Amino acid sequence: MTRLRGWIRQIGASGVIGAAMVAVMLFAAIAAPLIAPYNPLAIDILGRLEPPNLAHWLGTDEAGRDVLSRIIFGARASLMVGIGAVVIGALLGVSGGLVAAYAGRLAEQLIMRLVDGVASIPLLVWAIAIVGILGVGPVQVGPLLLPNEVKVLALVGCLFSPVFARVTYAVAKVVVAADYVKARRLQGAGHWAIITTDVLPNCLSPIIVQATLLVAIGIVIEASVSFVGLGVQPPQASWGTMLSDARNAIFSGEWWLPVFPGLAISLTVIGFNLFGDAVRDLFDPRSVTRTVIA
Amino acid sequence: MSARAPLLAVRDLRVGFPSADGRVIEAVRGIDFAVADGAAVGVVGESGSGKSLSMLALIRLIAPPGRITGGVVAFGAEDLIALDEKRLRRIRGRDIAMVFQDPQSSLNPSLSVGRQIADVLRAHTNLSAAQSQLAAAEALERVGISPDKRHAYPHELSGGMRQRVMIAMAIACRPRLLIADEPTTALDVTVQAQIVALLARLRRELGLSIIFISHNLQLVSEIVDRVIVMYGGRIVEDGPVETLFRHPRHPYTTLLKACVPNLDDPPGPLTAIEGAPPHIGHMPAGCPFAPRCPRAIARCAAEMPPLVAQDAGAQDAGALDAGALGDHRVACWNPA
Amino acid sequence: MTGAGTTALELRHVSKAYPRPGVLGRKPSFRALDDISLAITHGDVVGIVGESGSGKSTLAQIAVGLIPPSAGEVLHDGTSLAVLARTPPQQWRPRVQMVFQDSSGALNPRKTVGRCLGETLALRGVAAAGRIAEARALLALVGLGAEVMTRLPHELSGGQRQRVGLARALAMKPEVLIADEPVSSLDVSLQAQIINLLARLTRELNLTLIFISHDLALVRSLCRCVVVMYGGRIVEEGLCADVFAHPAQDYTRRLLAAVPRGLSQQRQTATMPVLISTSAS
Repeated sequence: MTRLRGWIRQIGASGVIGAAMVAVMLFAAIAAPLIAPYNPLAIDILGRLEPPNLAHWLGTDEAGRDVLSRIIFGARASLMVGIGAVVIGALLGVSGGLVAAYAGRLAEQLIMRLVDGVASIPLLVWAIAIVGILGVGPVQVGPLLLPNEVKVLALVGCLFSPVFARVTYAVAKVVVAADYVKARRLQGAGHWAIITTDVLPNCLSPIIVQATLLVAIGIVIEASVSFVGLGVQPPQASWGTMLSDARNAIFSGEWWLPVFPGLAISLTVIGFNLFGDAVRDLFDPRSVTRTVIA
Repeated sequence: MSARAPLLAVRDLRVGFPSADGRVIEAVRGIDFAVADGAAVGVVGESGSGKSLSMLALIRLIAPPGRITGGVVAFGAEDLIALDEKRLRRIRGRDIAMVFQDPQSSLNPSLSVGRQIADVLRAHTNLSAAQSQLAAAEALERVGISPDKRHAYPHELSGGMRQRVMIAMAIACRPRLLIADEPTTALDVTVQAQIVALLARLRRELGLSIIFISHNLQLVSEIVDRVIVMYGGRIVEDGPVETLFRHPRHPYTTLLKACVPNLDDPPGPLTAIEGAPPHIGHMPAGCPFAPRCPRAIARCAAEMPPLVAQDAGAQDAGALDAGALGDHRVACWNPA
Repeated sequence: MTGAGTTALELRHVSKAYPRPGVLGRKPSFRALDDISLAITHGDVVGIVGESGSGKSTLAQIAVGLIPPSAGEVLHDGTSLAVLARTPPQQWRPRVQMVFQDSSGALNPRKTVGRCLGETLALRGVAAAGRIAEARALLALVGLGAEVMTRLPHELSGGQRQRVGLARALAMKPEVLIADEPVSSLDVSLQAQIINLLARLTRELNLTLIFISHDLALVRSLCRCVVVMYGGRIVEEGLCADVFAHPAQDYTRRLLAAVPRGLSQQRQTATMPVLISTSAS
């Protein structure tokens, strides 16, 4: 309990808020079928375009579907793409950055030039272009039939990897030059052991902050790609498709159609940013002080 | 009895930090001393003795959560502790300048050194851009750096030269008092000697008063007239440098002097002070040095010894010119 | 070096040059070390002195096998490192260990002292069951209590960190210990403690000690022989007593003259010759 209190004191109010927001989003995404009041796909033509009321807290859309339920289910697509892309990007980028920093000049040149190449690709344009080329149907991976969003996830993941590679490389370069790494080499420690127990842990802090920031960006990319119809396919719910469908509503006065998905995106992004700062603060070993004054 | 009023007179200065349970823990526990005009005073002590904190407190540079919890710092006619921020800022940098330990982190790596000195001049004087450039070149020359180095960046200079640049920045506005906080600690032993010699020369040429903070009593004694020895946030001994060096009375001073090896000493084990300085949160009752003191008696652990003048005819330590140039004061129950 | 006994560590015509890419054509490489030959016998205590930029740290890193020389060879106990590098590291790495200057991050900020020592002992082949006991013994050897085991480096004082660094080096049971400016970042009172500790351990464990410093007085108090370096070259070497009392070279004389002696002597500040700057020009 005191440990938790210690953490809370370290990350401050903003950190707690961020963590709470992320927790809410994650819970909504995971428990969607249990907490959504209505089936997000259930059409009710008679009840369409209702403003927020007691039966439908956030109103209904042009097909009569409950906005609140669609937003809850939309969290799934957003978080899946956001977190999935970051995981792929981190796996590729962090390993690349570590090897570039540790393995010597040739590897360094090769990897970092490759990183420069991938980084020069404009993210959103390519995401849209490639999915446009590949088509929006579901993709067959072995026995599984995966929805279209997985293509977006994989592509964005690859395009995220240069960021991770650069961040990791910059920090790892400094760490590799430290005396404690030299001491490990003198002890005869293997390269893998040194990279995993000495170099990587000391690079984690900026990587994690970067990762949480990129989740936020991934969420926005998912929304953007879905907005143009190349992400989540109708009638599935996604904040992006909801915004797209609500384009006309801006002029006809059904404010709840664009506002709530927009809010959902904004709040999730803010939450992840605050959470990222909190995680970085927690990871700083200097904040672990067990010998306290008095 | 000093005829002239001292340039700086500090009385009962206290600096504290809030602890986890709301109390204030004092890191500097009531020090009194004075610096005469044109004098050089050395402040010596180990890390954690409060020497740097006390001097930072003089110009109110203590970073929160630490704060000054008491005392008077009389500089000329004004009390620096009570002064408003605007007037203090004018004094800081112009009348009182400070040189820090690590020139690497004190200099802006993306500006040339000449530009940084000129910036200081423009901030505190009415010189035009061109005039301050000239004055910067002059300042560099005064500290022994050729003026054409003024376009160099900090990373292009050696550690000793960077420290000279810091000193040039400090003296550019002709301050009356220069506080040097461990200016040589990060440097080679031979370069240390050069920097100390430079400070001595500047003192003569500019009539500068100097406060030189260090953990090395031998080094400090090369340049100063008076030495203050601090331990555990208090002054344990102070006096004219000759007196302190030849006839130290406090056991800590004796040990501090002895643990710096001399080239002329025969090889063999060095005199060391066993143990470690106390943490400010765990300060023992009574004399803070008692646990490590070879001359400790029963009274030392129980009661804090007061700082007392050694000369029979001198004023007592509580008088106005406390720590004036000639006084030798010791805080010990069992002095040598 | 004079003295009978086998050679623990030897450098033969070692040079180290760092290439400097120029925009138009190449600038001459920076020579950190120039034709260094040095032989250190078992059990000796040798000081290497020089100012910043003299190449003494580069020499240490090459001697211990962290960086390869550009020319010449390094021998541990008579065998060239080029040959040893082809054998498993556990066989030859432990023999020569290093203690670093604390300020440059000698301990991993994320590892507790116990974990750091435990990993080192594991690499030496100590069984998991015995590691904690041996770690405690090592800490006691360097004058630290067992409570330090659970602490992270930033929770220790500078002197304590240096002792942990020493314990880590000793955990490999080395024959040769190279101490690269081990006390330069400490208060003088702590310097004396660590130097005394080094002297005692060198005697008790029968180590060969190479002590690198810019502080001649410390070298004088600890070492039997001294090597004076300047600009990547060895300027003078010999027994401490001889070199310090009757320096043969001009540079050595000026170096000695520039050491502060406190109130005990009036001394002239020698003007040192221009150093090779460590970066541009």
